[in-house]
Amino acid sequence: MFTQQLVNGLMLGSVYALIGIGYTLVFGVLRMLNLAHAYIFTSAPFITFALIGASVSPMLALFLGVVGAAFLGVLLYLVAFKPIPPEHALGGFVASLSFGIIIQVVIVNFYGSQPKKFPTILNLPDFNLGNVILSGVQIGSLCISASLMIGLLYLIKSTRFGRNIRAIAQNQMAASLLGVAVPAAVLLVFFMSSALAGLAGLMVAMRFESIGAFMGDMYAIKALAIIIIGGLGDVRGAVFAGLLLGVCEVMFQAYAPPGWSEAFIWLFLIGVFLVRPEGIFGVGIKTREI
Amino acid sequence: MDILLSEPVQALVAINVLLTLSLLFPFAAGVWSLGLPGFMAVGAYLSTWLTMQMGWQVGPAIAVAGLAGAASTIPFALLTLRIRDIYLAIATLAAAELIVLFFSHFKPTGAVMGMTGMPYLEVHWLLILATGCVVASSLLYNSRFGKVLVAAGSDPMVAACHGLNMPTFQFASLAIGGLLAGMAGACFAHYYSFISPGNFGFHRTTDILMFLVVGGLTPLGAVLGAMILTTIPQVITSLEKWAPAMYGCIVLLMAVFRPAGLLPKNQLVKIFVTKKSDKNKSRRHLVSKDA
Repeated sequence: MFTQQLVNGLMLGSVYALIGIGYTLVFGVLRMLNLAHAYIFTSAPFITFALIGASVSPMLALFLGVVGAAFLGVLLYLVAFKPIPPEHALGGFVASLSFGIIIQVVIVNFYGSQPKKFPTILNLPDFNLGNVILSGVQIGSLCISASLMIGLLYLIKSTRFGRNIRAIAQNQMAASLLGVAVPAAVLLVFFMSSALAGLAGLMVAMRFESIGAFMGDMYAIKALAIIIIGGLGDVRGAVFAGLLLGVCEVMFQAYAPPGWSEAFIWLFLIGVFLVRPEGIFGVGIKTREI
Repeated sequence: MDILLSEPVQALVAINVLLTLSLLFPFAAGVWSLGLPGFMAVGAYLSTWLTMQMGWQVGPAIAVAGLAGAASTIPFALLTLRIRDIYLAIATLAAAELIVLFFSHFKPTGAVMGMTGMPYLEVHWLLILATGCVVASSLLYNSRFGKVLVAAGSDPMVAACHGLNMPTFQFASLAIGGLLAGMAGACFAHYYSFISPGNFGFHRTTDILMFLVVGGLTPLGAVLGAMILTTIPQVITSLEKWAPAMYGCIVLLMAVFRPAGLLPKNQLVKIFVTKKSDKNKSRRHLVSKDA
């Protein structure tokens, strides 16, 4: 029973981690919260759903779902972040939120607010290991997200693109003076982060075989907790905090009275703010900097 | 236009105006507290308890609910000592979620099912309360205290260097916000006679934040933003399904083309200043000549 819960927790945690990586990358380069992130997460399964409805082959539809979400992210940057004057303190916050709400309203008006059945795309067999049952989709998405996380950590740590992003996160002005093409890097970050959110959305949709216009709401505020516990702008931290919160949430749901799993997340979040504002690994953006 | 004079719309406008004002004071002082749904929930549940269990009248219950809302800002105020800006927004959001989470698992208040059967409050009382709060807020905002808040909001360092004790004013701005939110929550409970934790979710904060951003960081701006954005979907009922998307477009356009909101400057001050400046005209003339 405990092992089963642990696996479920890791499954949920890997979704959290994928959402958190994109979120924290965008925060790192712009120092603004992208509140539309969770709505882009929701949009990918609906794009795939619509394409399958239009009799596109399922695998292609999955791929186009991720690409569609990625381009939606680019559009988000061009509409809701780029034109906002930098001195507008709340600009990115409310503009990205508005963009997200527009996405949600479009989905509700075309598909209704009731959950829809998501077609079974991959017919993978279930695995039985002792008393732990793993569905094929679960193993598949666990493998994909694990390899993506490792790939991203390598990308951020060791490639030129990763160094550029970290330089922008530290000091945008200095980075641009030293020859980093800031606008291109920021666009690429939005593309990547939204593709990751879309992928996470598709994983959730395939796992539960049900999609709804409000499926992102649950992840929207928890993603905030993940990027703060991990340290703002710190990709390793986002992976670790995502997995940690996923496991904790499932464990609390299984063994504690109802309500405690959410309360734990919020208390943990406030605690991190008060005790260690730079996040668990201590390399995120410090909140006390002026 | 009939729809604008109907009672539900008036009540909605009155409550939204109160909530927008409650967000205005902390934001004007640069304290980005998103704890509004928490304060609102405290006010609503306390006023319900006072009227239903203790047999109080609605009026005193609303007043006490406001005070309780102000008192519930104390933990949030302690957070402002350590955290600021967007980080404070996230921390207060989490704290507000905790308050609402408490009510959604607290059996005596009906948990997630909510409570019903509060004494009904006539709409005209809501309107009187909202008008009173608007007048009081404008006076407060134009007073020395209000100017200190704006100074703290625009540059806390400079304000502190002029001998203003920043934490005191930040606490006070939060407390005023809590007072207004608590009263708004109580009004909500007594007008709709039904409350549940679902009424105090994150969407409440985001709606009110949009009103404030569209209106601008002044009392009149807040009132204008709340009134316009609350009534638009009521007037254009054929577009009801698209109303939130319309909000979104309006906010996006405003953020790009008029980032400071509809009424960014204090219009009351402007009227007074232009009247006074007639006297100073000759002097200003001299100054420009020297330059």
